[in-house]
Amino acid sequence: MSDEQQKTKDEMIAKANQAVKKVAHEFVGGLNQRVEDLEKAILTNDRNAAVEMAYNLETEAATFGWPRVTRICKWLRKIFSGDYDQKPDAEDVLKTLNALKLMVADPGNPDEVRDEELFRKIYPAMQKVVTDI
Amino acid sequence: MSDTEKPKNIKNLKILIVDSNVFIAKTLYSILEAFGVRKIMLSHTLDEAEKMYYSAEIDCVFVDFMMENRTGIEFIKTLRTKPGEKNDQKLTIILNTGLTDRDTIFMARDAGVTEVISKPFSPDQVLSKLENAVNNPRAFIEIDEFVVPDRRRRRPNKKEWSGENDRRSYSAKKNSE
Repeated sequence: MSDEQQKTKDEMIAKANQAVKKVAHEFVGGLNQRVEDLEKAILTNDRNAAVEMAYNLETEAATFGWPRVTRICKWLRKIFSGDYDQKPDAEDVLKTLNALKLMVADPGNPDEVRDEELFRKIYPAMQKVVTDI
Repeated sequence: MSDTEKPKNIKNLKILIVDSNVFIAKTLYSILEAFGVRKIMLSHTLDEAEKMYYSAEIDCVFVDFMMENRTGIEFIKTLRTKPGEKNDQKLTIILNTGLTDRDTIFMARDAGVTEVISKPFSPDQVLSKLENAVNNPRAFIEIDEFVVPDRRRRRPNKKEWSGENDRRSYSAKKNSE
């Protein structure tokens, strides 16, 4: 590849990265509402909706740099699609949901230290249910 | 469309994005737009996507598997098995999915996807998959009315295109120096 071609390619990637940042900003704006919708689907036992919402949030959070939200949503998707190693306790599901809600309560100002602590607390129960989480 | 007729520049591709996830679809749209792709269509439902596919000329479809209760895979099969009047069955289908377990990938391959991009994806991954689809299209196997890309991407006298930084071309270059 010539220097000129490489430069063009780099410019395309840089422009695309900027475009992704704009979408990420929009994503953050609606994050807590999305988690509320997910909670509603779970509490009304709408499993299909819960799986789809958790999957969508999981992939979006992974794309836009929210790793803990990604893993919690992956866990929720797995348990509501029946892909778990041990049946989860309702209490653990609620605890995980509450942690998720707290993590996205003010998505514009995420508190990394608090979120890490919250995640460490819920992780053993999550891992008991889905071992490869 | 035969291999030789395919546009070589990704900017000339006509792309359909099918994803119920608004943000992921928007992200992909923005990435392709930033690459200079001029014709991008977007659909959030499979019904609408099918209508779009049969009413316009499309070179490449990005689709998620987990749409409408996992029926994204059925959509891919439809594109591969239904003889299209305006479209060729040998189009590039790229599955963009968050599920990368063995079963899902095998299922997608058997349904006829050309490439798989796992979510989360980055602009350079999208570019590399698209360039690969354009520069090194797979051969197709036709069984009755089912047309699928060859799983092995084995083409005589043409090695797999894996980007400019392929370790094999790098070592070959290094050895010749």
